[in-house]
Amino acid sequence: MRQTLIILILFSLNSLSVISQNKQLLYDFNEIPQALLSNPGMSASFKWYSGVPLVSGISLQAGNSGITSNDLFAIDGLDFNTKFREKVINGMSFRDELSGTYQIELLNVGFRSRKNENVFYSFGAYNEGDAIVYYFEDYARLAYEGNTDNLNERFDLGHLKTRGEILNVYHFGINKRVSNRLVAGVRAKLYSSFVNFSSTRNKGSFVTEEGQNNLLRTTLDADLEIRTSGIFELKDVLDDAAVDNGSGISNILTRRALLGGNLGLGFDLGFTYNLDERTTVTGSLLDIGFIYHTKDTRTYSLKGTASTEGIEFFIPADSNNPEDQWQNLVDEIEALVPYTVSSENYITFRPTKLNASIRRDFGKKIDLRMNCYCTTGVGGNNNGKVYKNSFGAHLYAINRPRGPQTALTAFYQHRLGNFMALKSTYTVDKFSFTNIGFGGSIQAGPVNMYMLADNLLGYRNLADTHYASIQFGLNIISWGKK
Amino acid sequence: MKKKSPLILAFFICFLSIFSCSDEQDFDQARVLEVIPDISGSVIYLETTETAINAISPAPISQNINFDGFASGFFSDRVISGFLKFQFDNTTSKNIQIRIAFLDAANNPLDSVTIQVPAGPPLRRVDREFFYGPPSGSSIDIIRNTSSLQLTFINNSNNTSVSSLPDPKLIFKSSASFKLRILE
Repeated sequence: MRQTLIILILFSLNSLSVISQNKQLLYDFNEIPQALLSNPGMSASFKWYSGVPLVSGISLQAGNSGITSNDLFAIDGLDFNTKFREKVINGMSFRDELSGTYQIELLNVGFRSRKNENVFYSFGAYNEGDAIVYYFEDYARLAYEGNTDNLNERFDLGHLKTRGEILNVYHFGINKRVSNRLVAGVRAKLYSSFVNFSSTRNKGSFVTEEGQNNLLRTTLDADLEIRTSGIFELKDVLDDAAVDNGSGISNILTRRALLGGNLGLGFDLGFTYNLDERTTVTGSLLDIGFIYHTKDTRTYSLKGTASTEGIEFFIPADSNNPEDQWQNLVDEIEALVPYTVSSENYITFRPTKLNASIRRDFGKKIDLRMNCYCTTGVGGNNNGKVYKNSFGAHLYAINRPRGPQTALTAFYQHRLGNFMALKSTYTVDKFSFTNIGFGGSIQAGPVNMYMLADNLLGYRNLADTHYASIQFGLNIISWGKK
Repeated sequence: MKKKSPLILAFFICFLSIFSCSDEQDFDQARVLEVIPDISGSVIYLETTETAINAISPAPISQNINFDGFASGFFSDRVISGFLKFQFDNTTSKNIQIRIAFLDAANNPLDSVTIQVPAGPPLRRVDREFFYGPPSGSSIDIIRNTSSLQLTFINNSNNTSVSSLPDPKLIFKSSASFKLRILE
């Protein structure tokens, strides 16, 4: 059990996220094709590109807003129970998040329309995993301290909020230069969910207070629900000794990857608009969509209200009652707060993300050498002009179970000819005021490779960082004259 | 400049992959983690009237009440120590001796306590706490194996007097507070 707890804590510690899905380095990094996935309306001047399958875009992000691994597991000579009590039980709040995400591109291809050079198409597929667990503060405190020293305190059952999913996303996007000032884009998405769990609308309380008849009265007011899909078919395979686990699970996952999972639809929107020759604003809304879960679903619920002051017995009225008083009490509570398991279909909405940025270019213009296959002319504003330097600000928001959460980034981008672009960021959010990111994209002939990393200061001691993020990939790009 | 450019990115990659570091962690520390909540709840509420006491006396009133909460696996496997609190409110005109016996599933006595409650009026309230598990000296196994409580009321007064208070009763209230070892 302790090992399970450790694994849970480690998973939590190493898998944070609100910031985790913020790709502020990649956003509007026009030299990188994957930036189209964060803004389908990006100013893109590729002729065509093709990601190298499986390595064209890999992003891993992890962290937490509460404690770090070092807080608990550093070799500091301190008593572990003291650290656990101070850092976890007393140090974290229900607003702290523990979550993470990864994304692996399976395929990513883009090409410019032959009929209309202002239109650029892109399509592909990626596998994505995303999970968020809010620290269930009152549950943890009740389990850790109990209710004896917390009489009259109402433990909030709404502190249980979690959501997670592994899915494949198939997408097709259209990017169009509408005018010299405006580029707009839209991307349709088809989701195929492998596994989903969701418990985000819990309410209720648990309280122990002075009783009316007896010494204490305990009241449970619960409206709890956990919905899952895709889990028990896998569990059945693992539990079935007659089925080889490896091939059995592989078959299931392959089927789900190829649109055999729970399906959903969504879309992204985005634009880039030139306020003037050197000033550009952008915006995008990602994952406006839902998944309808109909296969391998389970819903666990606990709903109702019950108060108890123990067994109540009256002499002589109950003296000859042969009923089992304890069982009556248990039955009564179970009837008032029934626990049910069902297989209802349900809908989950994707965590929608908002990006907005303003960018100011300055410095010398960089020559576009589109006739040449030795470099690239991507990036720049909608007029196709690229400048040596850019700076600006980026706002990111994501819809989470506890409401929208935001991050604000200042960035500076520097281009070394058409060969290389570097970008640095400074991001502020509720988790960190020292998140400095840095990344670069190299164009070597037709080969593009990029690497972006967040929170570089955290790399000095990974065990003591709240957040780590890295993205990298490899693409083949062609930018021949249109 | 063009020759320097890839070196910058290479340096960056090296910085992340080689020069990033981490304090050494000792995850085995978690082996000593103790989670021992102290939980409380009511046990039994019982009341009887002076009329009932008079009617049965001089014979004692004896009542077994099944209470499997202590014997349930979740509780009995984890309980370490704690106490039971008994409270008596007596508005009858009787001096009453109460004996509370802890019985196992086969109704064998595991332990018993005796409490004297003086006669009213006015309202006489008696509170008693009985500790089990270390360091009390009473074995926690008594609680672990308790499946029912037997309450016996012995009227040490006459069987004719009537309290001057309205609706005279003897009321028994009880609660339990125990520490459970959730993680070990």
